[in-house]
Amino acid sequence: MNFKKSLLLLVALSIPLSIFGCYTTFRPPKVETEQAYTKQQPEARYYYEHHYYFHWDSFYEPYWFYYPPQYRWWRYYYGYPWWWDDWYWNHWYDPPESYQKKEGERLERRRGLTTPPPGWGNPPKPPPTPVYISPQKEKKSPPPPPKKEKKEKKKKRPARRRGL
Amino acid sequence: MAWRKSASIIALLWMEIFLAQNCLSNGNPPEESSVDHFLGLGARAMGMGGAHIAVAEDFSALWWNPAGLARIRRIELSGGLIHQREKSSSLLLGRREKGVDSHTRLGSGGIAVPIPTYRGSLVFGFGFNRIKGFDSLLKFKGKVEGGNFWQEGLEERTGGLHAWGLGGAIDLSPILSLGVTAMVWGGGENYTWHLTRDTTDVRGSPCQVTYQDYDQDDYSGINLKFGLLLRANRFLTFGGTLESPLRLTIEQDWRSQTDSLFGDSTLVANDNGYYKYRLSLPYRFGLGARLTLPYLILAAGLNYTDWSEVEYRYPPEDVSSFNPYMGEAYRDVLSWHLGVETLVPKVGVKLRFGYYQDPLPYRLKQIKDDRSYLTLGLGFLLSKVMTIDVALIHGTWETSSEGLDEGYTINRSFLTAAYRF
Repeated sequence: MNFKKSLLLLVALSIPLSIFGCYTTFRPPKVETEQAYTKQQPEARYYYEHHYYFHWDSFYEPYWFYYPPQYRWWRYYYGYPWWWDDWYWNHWYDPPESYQKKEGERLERRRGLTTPPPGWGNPPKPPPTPVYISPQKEKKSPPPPPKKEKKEKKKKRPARRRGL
Repeated sequence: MAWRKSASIIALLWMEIFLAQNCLSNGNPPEESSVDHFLGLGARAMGMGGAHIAVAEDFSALWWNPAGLARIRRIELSGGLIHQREKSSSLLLGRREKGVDSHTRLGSGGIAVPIPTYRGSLVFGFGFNRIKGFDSLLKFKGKVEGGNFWQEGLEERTGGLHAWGLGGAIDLSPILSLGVTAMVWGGGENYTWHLTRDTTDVRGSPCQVTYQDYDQDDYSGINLKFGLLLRANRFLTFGGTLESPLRLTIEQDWRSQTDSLFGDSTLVANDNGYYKYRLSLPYRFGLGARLTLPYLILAAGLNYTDWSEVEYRYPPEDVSSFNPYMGEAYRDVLSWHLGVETLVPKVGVKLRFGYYQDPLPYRLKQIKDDRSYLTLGLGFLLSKVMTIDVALIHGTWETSSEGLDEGYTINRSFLTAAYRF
């Protein structure tokens, strides 16, 4: 068989595969229920991160079996599709809940702007005057003798490179 | 006296012409460089003794098993170098001579691009792979003990064959992948032959002849390689390859010079030419298996080629003179490969060992010790996006023909770096 014949054979094999499709698909299949629609990929991802032994029919089985969990970067290198990366990074570095995006809400503009309700915003009242209470007489103990201040001797700083 | 000198020169020329014709007209096809001379490809594969038909899951799958491309999940840029150090040893007329030859070449370079899929896999690859290497140097010298016959020379080859490949692989089922690579072959070989013979003729007159031949061969050709990969269960993976016949067109630009010194007379004969011929290399079949265990991969591979099916396609004189004898000149060859890869616990580095036998196909040389290699390799993962693989292979073989014993020791090192986006 020469090259031209081989090429023709290849094209002949490729056409039915591309027309009628095969196992490999680029888009999710159109199904009735949303539940069935979202089932496959999240499940595969979940197993990817959390299970040592993957499903027997797993797409990524060799990497799961060969690389133990502590060598997840080897798994990542060989087994993690690049088009899953968004999910991957979100998974490992989950932002705090308050920063997570919520669907179906929009930012309210000029938030918090209002007029003061009655009684609000008046000048502050002066503080109440303190009530004087006379203190009880106490015996005064003699003051302690003044402490003699220690006179510190002035010392010269030792010369550098002493004994050199 | 003049007529005696002329007669001697004519006798000498006759002898040389006779010897030269004898080599060509005995019907023995020459040893074609493009047959055999597999160089090795990819540091990971070679570290595992080339047992890669069921293991290939990187850019090198373009050559080892195109179906292995389907295992690539990230865009990969890959490149590699090959360094070869060959030590040759010759034995001629009881005298041993050694030669050393060293070359560093670009081994491979290319890209593999997986297409995003919801289910299954579709991956394309494109790149350059150096498949065959011709680099070799043989020096020899020998003398008849007690006589006056001295021969000294060298044979040097440089170059090789590379293939630009464009391939793709697709998952046909959860456990079955199919791939194909179209390869455009190119490359060349520079050949140098230098021989000096110093002797005396029957009358005791000194006689020295020096041959200097150079030729430059350019190769071109195309073929296809098909591959299948079957993941039978979590432990076992099987692979199969089929490579279509390679039709090579070889353009040879050559020149030769013969200096004959007879007594005090010198005769110089120069010649040069251009020769174009076509050669068809046969189908090649490959089978491989891989056993995957935690921390460990065991792999085996078989390649079968019936080199006796090598055929000259052009010109007619080669077709008629050599093709009937190809079965006597070449034999079928089953090369087998064994390899181990282990992920060293706590270190995270991959350690590889391998062994393979790659029998010599040209049977007109007596094979004293057939070709086999021991291999060793290491694999590193840098920052989860880049791998560096190194491999060393060590091989030996010995042949003998026309009174010249040749022994070769090959040390080849492979360095491959791959980056995955």
